[in-house]
Amino acid sequence: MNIVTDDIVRVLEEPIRLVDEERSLVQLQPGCHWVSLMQEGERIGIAFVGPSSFAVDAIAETRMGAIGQSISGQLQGVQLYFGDANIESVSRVASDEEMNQSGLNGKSFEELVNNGLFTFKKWDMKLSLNSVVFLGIDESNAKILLLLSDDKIVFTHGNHIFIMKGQKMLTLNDQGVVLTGYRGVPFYIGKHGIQRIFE
Amino acid sequence: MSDDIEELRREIEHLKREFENLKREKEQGVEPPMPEGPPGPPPPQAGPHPRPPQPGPPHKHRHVHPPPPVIDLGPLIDGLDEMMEGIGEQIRLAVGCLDGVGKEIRIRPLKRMKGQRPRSMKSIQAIPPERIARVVDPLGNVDRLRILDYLRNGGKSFNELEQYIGKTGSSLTHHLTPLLEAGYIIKGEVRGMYYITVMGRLAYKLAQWLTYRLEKQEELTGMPAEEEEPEEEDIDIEFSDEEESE
Repeated sequence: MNIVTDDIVRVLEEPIRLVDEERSLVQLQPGCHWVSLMQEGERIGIAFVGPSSFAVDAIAETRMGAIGQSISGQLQGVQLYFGDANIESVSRVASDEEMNQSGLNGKSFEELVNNGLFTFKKWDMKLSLNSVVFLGIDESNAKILLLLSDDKIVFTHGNHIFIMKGQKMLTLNDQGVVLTGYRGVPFYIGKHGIQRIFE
Repeated sequence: MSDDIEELRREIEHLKREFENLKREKEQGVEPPMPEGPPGPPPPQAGPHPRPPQPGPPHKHRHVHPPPPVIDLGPLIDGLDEMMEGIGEQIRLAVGCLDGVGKEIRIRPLKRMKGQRPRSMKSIQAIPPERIARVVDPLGNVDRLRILDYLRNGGKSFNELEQYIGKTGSSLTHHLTPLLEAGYIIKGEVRGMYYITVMGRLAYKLAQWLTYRLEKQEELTGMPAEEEEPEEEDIDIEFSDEEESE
């Protein structure tokens, strides 16, 4: 079943944290416009546009010290969020004037979503409980994918990939790959091969 | 008894004849037959009448040379290296216990052969003070060292650091900033947590090692290393292969 956008566009009146986990944060500011994303008559997420930001601590603590970096920035354009979102209470239906002032530029959410980064025509989103998927794009035009599920985190930002589950971690960037396995011992895979990171 | 003496006489006569035959052959230029082929049982003793050649197909004589001996000097050299590395200490121990020999013998550690010296040693010794300062400066404060030590137990929030260090707000930020700039700690933007990095852990460990070595030196000599003056009676033995031109 295809994912469709709801017809009603709402505007946020108070700041809210859509994702508020230990290592990740997606924050929406007042003035953000959003619509519900529906599948088989049920809301599975929202699409939003407007003042918003994200931060992800792509940092793993290993026995040899912390590896990784914190990545944050402003979001720009239409963003998609799949998961629970109780934001109706701090939102109202957007007026025509507010619609003109939004970042939609006279286009509908449906048009922007389906003609933008993502195409929902073949999507069948089934999220397990306590799972969150965020698909976005930031001001530097870097694509963002954030998947949270229990103690797992998958985060991509441009060429940077960060995957972590418990003490196990994999991070990939322009410098190479760092793997952290059992007992938190990290290994670096770069142009000189596999190296253990020594204390 | 007389039988034995007679037997000996016969043997001596026989040997004399053999000697005379050999002497004659040598004077005539006839070389005595040499054994051929691979080593085997000893050839039969030459008698007064040489044995005629045996009929039959000619023998193929294969000259099999034994493989040249291969002597691997590697282990020997390695063994010598190991031996020489500890020789200074052995000399010190051996001579130190003798009466009447110098009060103290100081032996500088044996330096490796020029070809064996790690290539990085020269580049390490060439590090200028400015580079050292960039690495060491962020560690040059007890509060910063306490921050690093505290973070070795795991990530901590700003509030936790405030309580531990006993400084608040900008006073704590004043110490966190150099550590962040040096890459010894990183800050997570989501919760404002601070973590010690791989570099930070290494820097702290090396600072501990430096402290240990200097304190040990002070303990052994009773004075800091820089202030140590060699006594005139000291015997200074130096094992060095450094070229004078260097």
